[in-house]
Amino acid sequence: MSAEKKPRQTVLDWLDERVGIKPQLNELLYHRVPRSVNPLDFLGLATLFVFINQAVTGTLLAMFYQASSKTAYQSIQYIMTKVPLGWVIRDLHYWGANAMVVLVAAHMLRGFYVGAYKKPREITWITGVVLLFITILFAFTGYLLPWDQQSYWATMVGTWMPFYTPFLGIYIAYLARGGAYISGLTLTRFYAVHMLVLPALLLIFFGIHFAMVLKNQMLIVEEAEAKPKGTKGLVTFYPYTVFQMTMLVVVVAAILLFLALSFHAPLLAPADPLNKAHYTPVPLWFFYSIYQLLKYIPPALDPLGIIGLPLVAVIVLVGLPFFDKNPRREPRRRPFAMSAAGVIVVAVLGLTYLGAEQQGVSTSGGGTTATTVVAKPTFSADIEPIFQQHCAVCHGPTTKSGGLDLTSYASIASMKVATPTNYKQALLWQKIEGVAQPRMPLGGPYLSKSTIQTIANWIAEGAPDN
Amino acid sequence: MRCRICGHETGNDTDLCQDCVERASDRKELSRRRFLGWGAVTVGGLVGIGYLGAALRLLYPSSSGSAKLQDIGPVSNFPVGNYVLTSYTGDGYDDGVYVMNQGGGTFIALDFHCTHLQCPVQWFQSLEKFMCPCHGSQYNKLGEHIAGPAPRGLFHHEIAVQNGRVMLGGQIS
Repeated sequence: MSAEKKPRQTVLDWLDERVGIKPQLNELLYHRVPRSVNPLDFLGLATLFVFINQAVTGTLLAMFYQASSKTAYQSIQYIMTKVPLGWVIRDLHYWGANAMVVLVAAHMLRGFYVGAYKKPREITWITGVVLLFITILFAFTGYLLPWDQQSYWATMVGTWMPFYTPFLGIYIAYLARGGAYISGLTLTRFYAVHMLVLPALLLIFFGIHFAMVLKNQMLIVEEAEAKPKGTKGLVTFYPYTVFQMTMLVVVVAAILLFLALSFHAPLLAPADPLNKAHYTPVPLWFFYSIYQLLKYIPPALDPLGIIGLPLVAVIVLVGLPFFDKNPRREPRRRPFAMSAAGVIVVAVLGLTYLGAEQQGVSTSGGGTTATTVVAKPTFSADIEPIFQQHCAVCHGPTTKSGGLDLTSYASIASMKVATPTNYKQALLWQKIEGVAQPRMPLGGPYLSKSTIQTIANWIAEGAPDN
Repeated sequence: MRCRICGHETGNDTDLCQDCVERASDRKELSRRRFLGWGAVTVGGLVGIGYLGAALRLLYPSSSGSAKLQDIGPVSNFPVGNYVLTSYTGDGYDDGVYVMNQGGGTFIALDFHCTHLQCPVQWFQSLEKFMCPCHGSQYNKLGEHIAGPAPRGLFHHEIAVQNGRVMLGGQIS
């Protein structure tokens, strides 16, 4: 009897014999997909890549970072100045954190637009919402770690927001801080949560999220698989889609690297619990919308803005697959859902933009960053934006400090602060120049020389309402 | 009716389904299985609650208001009628406190965190006001709320004079 010739065994065969993965692997790699795919359908992959960037750069940073209120700041300085490439790693982590928030939000909007939250993908959607909140908690806990003025005071305000929760408020705030105020205890617990709790939670929920994507397939795959074999425009996932995905990862990586090399993560003065330099706290950018909203609602409604609205957002997001029973997926067949989402997106983006303007992040008109003097300024185009940005917190329609509302021309005229035309005698100029004390804006930062000159020119013109 | 062991529909008005009856050797086995099932859930739950309780006890801060008075300097360091920013060292944290000598041996100590969102307020002697840079809350010389979104006045700290030294305590109200 001649021995039967054994087929050569590959590593994959060896593995398959023990684990039994070949059928699944075949299905995964060779299922049919459309040849051209909208890059927006890969936003989840882009997010995953940025998360891996966070895990790698975060681990590297943790090898140099010292989590204590006495050493945290110096260790960040050490990373930025002494560790070879330390600054790049920190900047990559910083930009990765911002990119995570943006990409998760964009991924979610895309999922909403194509109706990917509808049956049978409810669990994919809900775990995605949980992952959004985990991402925000990552950013919030990571923000404190450099222990500079910005992180210390933003966390002071951020951890006090739960105080407005009925009954439980003070307990949540104290539990988050580990004491009455921010301290080294807050730093160590934020570090533990950032490094241990959140990564574990993220991996669990990402595991479910990804398993559900594999089980229920992506929408485009489902549509492609439904077409008869040999249909034009269909290709196998591997290597076609895999190649497209790799290209996307390269693009995202290039953008991250560009941002990291061009714009450095800020590091202000070390945290000072007594705030001797009168630093004005600034919220994290994705809280700008809430921050801005609080300026428009009466103080009595603050708990609604701080706790109520975010809670409603959570309920709407988690419950979306159950509220929206409309089986149609095409955006045009879902006019109510699409217009409601549109209004919310526009409102959040608008408030975020206004909040950013207040922070002087992107000043289009005058501001502390303005370097050009306007010779013949008009009230509406040149002066009012300056007042809105730098003065309205105290001299606004509700606060009216000293009876003056600088957002209303009538109030400016009746209080006679912008007269006479010899601007050096006008109270407004004296206050912003520091001739009359206390200098405005109170506690600084003060207006730039060119901004002050623009206002002086307006007063000299007779402070017209134009 | 639902089976009291597995929860499936029994198809008749008994509370045990045919499958559960067949799987068990006798009626005693049935109650034993139910006991063990619930026992596993209960014990597991208790272990979980134990960990959670211990974690909360560990993480929740002990009350700080009753800490003993701290020496912040001689009375002569505090001019009558003007606020001086000092610091109270709590359990691991430093807390800014505005202290003013009101004359006649009486002092007032106000916590410098705005009661709206805890931004640091600043004292302006010329205006005789505390002002918050975040959302514009204002307080008068006694720390009472006069403008802006803050829900109440500034918190007071315990303060006393002992042997010519000003002694500052924790937050009281």
